Amino acid sequence: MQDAEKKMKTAAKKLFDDKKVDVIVGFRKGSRANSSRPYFARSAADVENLVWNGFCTANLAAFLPGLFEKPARPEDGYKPPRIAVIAKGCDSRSVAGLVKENQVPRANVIVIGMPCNGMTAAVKGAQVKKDEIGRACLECVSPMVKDADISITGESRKPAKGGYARVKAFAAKSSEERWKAFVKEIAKCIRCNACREACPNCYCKVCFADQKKPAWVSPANELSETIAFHMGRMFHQAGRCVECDACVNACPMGIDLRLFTQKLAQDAHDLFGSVPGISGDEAPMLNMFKQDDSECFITDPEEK
Amino acid sequence: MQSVALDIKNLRKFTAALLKLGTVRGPVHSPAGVVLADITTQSDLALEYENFKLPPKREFFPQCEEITRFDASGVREVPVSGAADVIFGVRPCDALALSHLDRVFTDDKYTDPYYSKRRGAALLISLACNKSEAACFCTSTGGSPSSKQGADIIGFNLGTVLLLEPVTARGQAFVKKNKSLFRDPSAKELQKREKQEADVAGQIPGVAVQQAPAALSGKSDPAFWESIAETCLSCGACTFLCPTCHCFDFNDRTKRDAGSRLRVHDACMFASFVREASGHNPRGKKGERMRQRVMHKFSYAPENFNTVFCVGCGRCVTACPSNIDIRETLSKVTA
Repeated sequence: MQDAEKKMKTAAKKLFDDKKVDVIVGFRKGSRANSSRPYFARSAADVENLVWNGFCTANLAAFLPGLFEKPARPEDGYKPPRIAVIAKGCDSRSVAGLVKENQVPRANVIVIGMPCNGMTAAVKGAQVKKDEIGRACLECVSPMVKDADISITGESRKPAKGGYARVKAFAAKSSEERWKAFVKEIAKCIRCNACREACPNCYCKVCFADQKKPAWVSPANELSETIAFHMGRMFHQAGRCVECDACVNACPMGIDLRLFTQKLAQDAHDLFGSVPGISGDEAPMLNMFKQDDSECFITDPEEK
Repeated sequence: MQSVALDIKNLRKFTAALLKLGTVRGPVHSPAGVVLADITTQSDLALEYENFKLPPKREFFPQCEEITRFDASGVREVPVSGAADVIFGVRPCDALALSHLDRVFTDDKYTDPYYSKRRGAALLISLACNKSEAACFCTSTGGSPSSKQGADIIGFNLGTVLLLEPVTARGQAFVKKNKSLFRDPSAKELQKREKQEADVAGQIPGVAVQQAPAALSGKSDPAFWESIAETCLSCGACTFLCPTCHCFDFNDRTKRDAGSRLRVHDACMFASFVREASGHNPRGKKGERMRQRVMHKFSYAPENFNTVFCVGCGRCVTACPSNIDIRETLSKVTA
C-alpha cells in the first residue's frame, strides 16, 4: 500500500508538472486516530500531503459536481477545470455514473485508479466494529477501477461473489416485519442530510426535500417526514446506487442504510441486468425501455 | 458546597428518590451505546460511559416541537410537553453548554417559554468525567471534566462510591431532603476525587480557543475560509450534534383547513439556511457558511455573552464526514 501511495504521488506530481490538471481530489491524513480525509491538491507542492491507506473510505466522486459547477458569473472564456480523482473501484463507478448523467465532462476528468484492499468503515454506528473493513468493501463486486486514465498497480481485493444474501434474507420476512425494521432503523435519523451530501448521486441543485413550494417533505425529524425523506432519496437511487456506503459512513447516527440501498441494487441487477457504473455505455437504467423489461415489481411486488 | 457520599450499592434507592420528583432521564445502555432515556425503578443507571452521542440540549430544545395549532376558528398554543423533572448523568461540558443556552433563551428581555419551562422543571445532575475522549478539549473552552456550571448537583464516580456535590440551592435542597441516603465522604474519598479531577484534566490537550475571538476579527479573507471549508459537504452533522448550536426555523404542517406550526432545528451549514425567496443566497459558498459558524461561536458569542459558544465536547470533530476539525481551524485562525 505504501508502494501504491508512492506511485500515486509520482503520477500526481507529473500531472501538475505537465500542467495537465488544476486540482487532484484525493486523501490526506485525518485528525482522528486511524483516519484519512478528502483533500484537494492544487499544486505540485500539495502532492506531498496526499496519502493512500486503509482509511480512504469516502467516495470522492461526490465532490465532482460541485467542482464542475459553473460560477454564477463566469469570466470570459471560462473553461471547466481539469480534475484528477484518486479513485477506488466504487469512486470510478460513481464517476462513470456522473458522466452518463451529464454531470461531469469525462474529457476533463483524469481517473487515477488505485489498487483497493477495502477500506475501514467509519466508526459511528454500533453495528460496525472499530478498525474493520466496511461491509461495502467485503461485498464489493468491483474493487478494480473501471476506465482508469492512470492505473496504479498493486494488490487489490478479489471481487466478492455478490448475491445479496442479506437483502434476500430481509426480503423473505413478512411485509409487517420489514416495515417495522425499516421504521426502527430510520427513526434514528436526525435529518442532518449527511447521507445525501456524501452521496455522489445526490447532486440535485435543489433536493426535493429542500423544496418549499410544494413542500414534499418537512425538515422536521418527525417519523413520517423522515420516512418520506429516506424513501424519496432511496427511490432516486434506483439503478444508480453503486453500493459504496458513502451514506452509511457519513451518517453520524450509524443508520444501516445499506440494507435498503442494496435492495435497489439487487432489483437493478435481477430485474434489468444493470450494474450501475459497470454496465457499459448504455443510457441510465431508468432512462431506457426494453420490450422484455421486467414488470413484476408492479404486477407482483411480493414475488420473491 | 459540602459533598455527600452515596455508596453505589444504594444506587437503586437513589434512583427511587429521584423518581419521587417525577420523570427521570438518565444514562441507559442500549444497542446504540449509552443513551439518555427514561428511568424506572428497575433501570440500571449506567455510570461508565463516554458521552451521549446526541447533546442534552434536545431535552429542553427538541429538534422538532409543535408550537401552535390553527384552523378556521383561530390559533391555539400547544402546551409545553415532555419536560423531565430530573436529568441525571449529563457530562460537565454539556452542562456548561446549557448554561450558555440559558443566556440565549432566558434573557432579561426575552424569555423562550418552551425552553425555560423545561429547563426550570428539571433538576440537573451532571457526572464528572472519569476519562477523556480523543476529541475532548473542554479545558480550553472555559470548562473542565469536573466543571459545575449549569448543573444543580455534580457527581463523581469513584467506583464504589458516588460523591455528590450540590451546586445550587435546588441541588442542596434535594441532598438535604434525602440525607438518609448519604453519608459524609471520607478524607480518602475526597482526595481520590481531587486526584481524578486533576488526572482527567491533565489528559486533555490544549486548543487555541481563548485567542480565537481576537484573531477572528481580522479573518475576513474569503480564500482563507474557502480553504477551510472546501471539503465540507454542507450537511448538518456538526450543528445538530453541537450542544450549543441553537438556530431554528418554523415550518407549517397543514392538512386541508387545519395545521400546526413546528419549531425545527436548522443548521447554518445547510446551503438553504439563509437562501432568500428570490433565490439569492447571501452565504452561497461553503467558506461563507463555515465562517459564519466559527464566527458565531468564537466571535459573536464572546461579544454578546462574554464566552465562546463551544464547550469542547468534540462531537463535531468525531461526526464530520469530511473530518473538518474545529481544533485545527482554530489553530489556523490564531496562527
